[in-house]
Amino acid sequence: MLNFDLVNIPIGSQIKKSYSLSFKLKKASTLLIETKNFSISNKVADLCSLRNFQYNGKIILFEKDIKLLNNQEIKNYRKNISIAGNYDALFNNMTIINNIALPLRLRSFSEKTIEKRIEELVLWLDLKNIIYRDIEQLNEYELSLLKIVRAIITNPKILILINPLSLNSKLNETILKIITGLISYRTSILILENFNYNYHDIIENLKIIRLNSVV
Amino acid sequence: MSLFNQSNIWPIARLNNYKFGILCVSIITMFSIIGFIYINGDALNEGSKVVVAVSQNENGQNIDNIIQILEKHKGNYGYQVIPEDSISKILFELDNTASKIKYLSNKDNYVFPIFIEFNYKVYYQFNIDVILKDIIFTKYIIDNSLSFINIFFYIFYIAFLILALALCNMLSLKLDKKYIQFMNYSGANKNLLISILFKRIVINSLLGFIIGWLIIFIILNILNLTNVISSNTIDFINLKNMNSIFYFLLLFIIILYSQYITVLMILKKYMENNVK
Repeated sequence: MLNFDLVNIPIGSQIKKSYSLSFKLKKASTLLIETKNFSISNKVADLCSLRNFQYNGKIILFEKDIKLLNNQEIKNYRKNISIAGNYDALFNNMTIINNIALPLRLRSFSEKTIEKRIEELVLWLDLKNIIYRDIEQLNEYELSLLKIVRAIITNPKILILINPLSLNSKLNETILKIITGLISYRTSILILENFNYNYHDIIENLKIIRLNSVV
Repeated sequence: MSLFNQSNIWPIARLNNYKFGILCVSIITMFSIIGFIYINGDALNEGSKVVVAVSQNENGQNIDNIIQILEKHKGNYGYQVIPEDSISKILFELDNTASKIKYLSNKDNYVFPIFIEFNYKVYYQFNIDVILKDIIFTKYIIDNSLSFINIFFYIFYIAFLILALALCNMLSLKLDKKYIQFMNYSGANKNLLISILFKRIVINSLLGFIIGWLIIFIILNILNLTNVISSNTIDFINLKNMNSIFYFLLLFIIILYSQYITVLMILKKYMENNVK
């Protein structure tokens, strides 16, 4: 699905210093990359989701080098990748339901399909108490959960989660439930974390890459 | 269970300072109307005249009779009966040589015609041809060419309109980059976004345009109570003739098109350039 082969990611404005990253994300698998740096998490997410093309090395996505993709292919590929992270905030001038439905509406799905998918997610993740509230009333954990819900509503082939885990055990349980559910739908999940949790306690059979060395 | 009351993506495609945009459009509309009234006003067209020569040799055609006909149709014509000592000057300017010979042939019982001068625009505005339909007369148009000062004012007016529109659009049509990029990364169709934004700029332009027109409309109609404003101007702002409707339609299309071009450029910048 996604293959990073000695990809150099520059740190901040220091062009000479960079992280070198190699990994393979297979179909229906979960991979966690521990970055210990928030901006590095975002940069890796940008590369994986075709938002940024500033890198050295080789990135293969859906068996194609991303530097060889044309504009139309990039747009089509983006439809298969979803990100849930801090930089894609919920829009506070829309209701929560419209926020969740937004990615589907932007792809011109029918209202019936959108309604059906939201109902499924609400029932599955028990969101009844959240979706009718105002965004301002939600706490940090609920916001994180809704961002993930918005990311998975499109049934992506690759889901990128940026700092999803927390000290909130209920949220961690829900995330685990989502991960298990999506893997059964053959979705690949890439988790980018920069906190030192004991991940194996939260998610079993997790492959972890620790990105510590500076080249 | 029905989760949706109203479903649309309207809020995401928003213009950040649309209220300022509406204000800008209304100010531009006001200045455009004032400018247009000024450059089309009588002050810049004093040279253009229509002189009507009425023969007094026909039955029932004399100066009192003609003035009576003109006064019967209550209108602010601003006509002027040219005194006999000024007629030679007017005749010198007339280009119809045959008429001059006819009128100056000085036959027996020949009475010199009456020359009445009208402003060119007033003549056609009040359709003097129809008012004088029972009278036999000859019509002469004097100095109807576009003067340099008029051309200068037209150029200045168009340049002002284009510059003001460009400035207004730059300041007011600000799209939220974050929103547009989210749409772009979510695989949104560009045409969908353009159609939503187009609806927005139509509403904004229309609202600003109507506010601008309404302000001038109210001011001119109040001033008209004291008879300061010419009937041409009042008819123009009251949309009483096709020319003014055409002008306002054209002005609105220019404003809308300039906004559309600006929005298209911003979208291109945010959506196309960050693909690769």
